[in-house]
Amino acid sequence: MKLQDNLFTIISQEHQEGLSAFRVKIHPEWPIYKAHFPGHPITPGVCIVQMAQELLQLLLQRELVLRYAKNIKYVAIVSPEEVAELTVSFAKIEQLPDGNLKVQVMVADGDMLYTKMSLTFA
Amino acid sequence: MFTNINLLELLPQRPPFVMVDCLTDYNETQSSCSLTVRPDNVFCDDGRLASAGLIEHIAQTCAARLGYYNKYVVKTGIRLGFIGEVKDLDIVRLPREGETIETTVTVVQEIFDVTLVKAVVRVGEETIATTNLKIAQGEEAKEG
Repeated sequence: MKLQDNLFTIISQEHQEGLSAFRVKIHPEWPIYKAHFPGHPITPGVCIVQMAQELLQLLLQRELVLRYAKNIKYVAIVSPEEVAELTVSFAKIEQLPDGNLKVQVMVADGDMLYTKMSLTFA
Repeated sequence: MFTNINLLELLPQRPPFVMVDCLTDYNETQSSCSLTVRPDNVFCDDGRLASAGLIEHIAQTCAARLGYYNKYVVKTGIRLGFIGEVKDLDIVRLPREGETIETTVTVVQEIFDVTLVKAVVRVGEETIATTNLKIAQGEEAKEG
């Protein structure tokens, strides 16, 4: 299940030295919201991780496989009824000696932080 | 022993977002769930269960445990659950289509509505992933 253009669409992107950010729109009509949970739509935490992975793949123009997550912290729930847009930003993209890629990801809207993650991809 | 339990009675999630098939073990500190990776699984991509599906399966193994406790031990309703934190997730490999994975969660700590577990995902004897997970329980789920 690809989440781009199902759960979210990209509105804009900004790239600076050491920091890349995507502004995305969340689609409240995404069918999975009816299953997670009936009458109480909440963006599955695991889909926030996959959204970050899909955006990073787009940024780097290559396929990635999640290998390790030091930490994924869900600070606040992303309800599609309350959150229309999010900014997913990537900082400290680092190539490790074993060839894996380490990155810090923040999912926020202005001052409101929803998720922060430290991920390593193969 | 638990195979006659319909997991939909223990979980707030509904198909197609159900990532556990059976509760295979339950005791005071530990429980296990299994999942066979089928091609129609929403997280099955290119013949493998995507990492998001694997993490969701681990989280729902916890959810099934909490649901079993709520329904059969304290006899209350099924509550919504959320992942609070994933720590030290290590994915050795992703499960392949047709494989059955079994996840065992061991409770490390329970503080009010937050449960901290250690999880091990296996295919047979092979460990394919490990993690620590914090699950927070919310309000009672609506019928769906």
